[in-house]
Amino acid sequence: MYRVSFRSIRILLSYELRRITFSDRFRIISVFIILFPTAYIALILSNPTVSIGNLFYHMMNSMIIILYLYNVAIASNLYYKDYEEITIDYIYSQPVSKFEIYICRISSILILNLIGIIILALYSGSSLYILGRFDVNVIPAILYLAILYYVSVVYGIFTGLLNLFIVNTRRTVVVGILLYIILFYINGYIDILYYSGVDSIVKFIIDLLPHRITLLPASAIEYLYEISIGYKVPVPSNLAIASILYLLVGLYLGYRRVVLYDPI
Amino acid sequence: MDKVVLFSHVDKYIMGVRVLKDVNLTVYSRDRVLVYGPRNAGKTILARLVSCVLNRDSGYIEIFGLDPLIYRREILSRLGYVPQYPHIPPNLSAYDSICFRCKLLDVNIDDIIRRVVEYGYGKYLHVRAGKVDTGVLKNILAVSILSMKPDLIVIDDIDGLDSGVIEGLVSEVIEGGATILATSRGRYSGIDFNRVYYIERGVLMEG
Repeated sequence: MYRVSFRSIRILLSYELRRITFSDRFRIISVFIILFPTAYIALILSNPTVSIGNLFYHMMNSMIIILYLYNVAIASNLYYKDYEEITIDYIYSQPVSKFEIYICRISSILILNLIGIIILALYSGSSLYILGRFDVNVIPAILYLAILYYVSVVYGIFTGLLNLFIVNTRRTVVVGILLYIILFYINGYIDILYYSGVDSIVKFIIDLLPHRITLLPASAIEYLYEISIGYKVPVPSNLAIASILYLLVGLYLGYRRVVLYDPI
Repeated sequence: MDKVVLFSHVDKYIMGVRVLKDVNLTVYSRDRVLVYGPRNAGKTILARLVSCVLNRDSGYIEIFGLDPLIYRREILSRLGYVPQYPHIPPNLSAYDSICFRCKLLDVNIDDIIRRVVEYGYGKYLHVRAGKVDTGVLKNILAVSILSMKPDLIVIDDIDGLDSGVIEGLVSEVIEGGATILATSRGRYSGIDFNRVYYIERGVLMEG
């Protein structure tokens, strides 16, 4: 069960990438349509007068939340979709371990998102170049934008795997995603709690909540222009490290659910 | 004779429901075994347990003398499973799925494709699975899996296979010394089974 063959992983990964790209191509296209206009937010990142009340800031915030929720949905439905399309038997009756199938599924989602975000970064870079706004300051802005998007992808997959561990049916997956949306809506109230002098342990727990990814654009502005925008935002590298840790916890929970037990 | 499949007091629960109850089954090498029973009797779950798609909840299972929880890869490289439904992602073609299995097993795909074309399914090979009739897809998968000459063949719902495939390929594989375990809604007569079991509400009985 625990033995991994790189040859099998390579074959499985190419099959999974094809399967996801072709099966979910409409969903992937819709995400790209959402993402491409946001590439222009790189423009605002290259502008030092940016503020937290700026419309572009809110656009970037919304897009990060959409990308996050989209990945929550994908990771939560990792196996339920198999039952809808009745494809579970074919993939599971191949001479590969369930662990390899599981790892390849997660990796294929991460790779496809990474490709999408690289295209996005190239697109925003070339747009700025055409508009004559391309200077040295823009390069870290675009790179940072790409990292922000990818961190939200990793957060989303972690939360989706957590959903997969907790829930049993597609209906509870939907309820779980709705709860995250509600969490984003009550974000402001949580922030009031955060700044009202609560214990540091409570602040630490609040920092672990997925809604904190809404602070990513703010942290980007602080990081890039070394200015304070009124929020005590986490250090970007901490967010990146936390996202990797979250992914590892999510992977372990998903592994317990999918590999050690049956994914039904 | 070698034991190919051994089930000892096996229980299986799906969503909290006990779908297999204390199943004991021994299949020897070159056996032709039929398990038949009504809808929701547990035939597909039994086939999925033999094919390592599902894990047992209690009891003990050995396939080719190996524990499927540990030696899954070794077992499945000698086992061919024809599922009840075609089980191909709807936006990939049958060719993609055959190619995937051939690469994993290191088998020459041209030989397999030639057999599929021989049985008259060539025109469906490169069509997206969602646009092909499920019965046709099942037969394409069956031809491709049987052409790889596995030692143990598990066919879930054998009634869904064309008589041409049964008379030609299945008979050829049986003559070649393979063991076959098939499930069916009724008592299937297309193959001369030497052992027949009846299953109802998860209880397996000599039939």
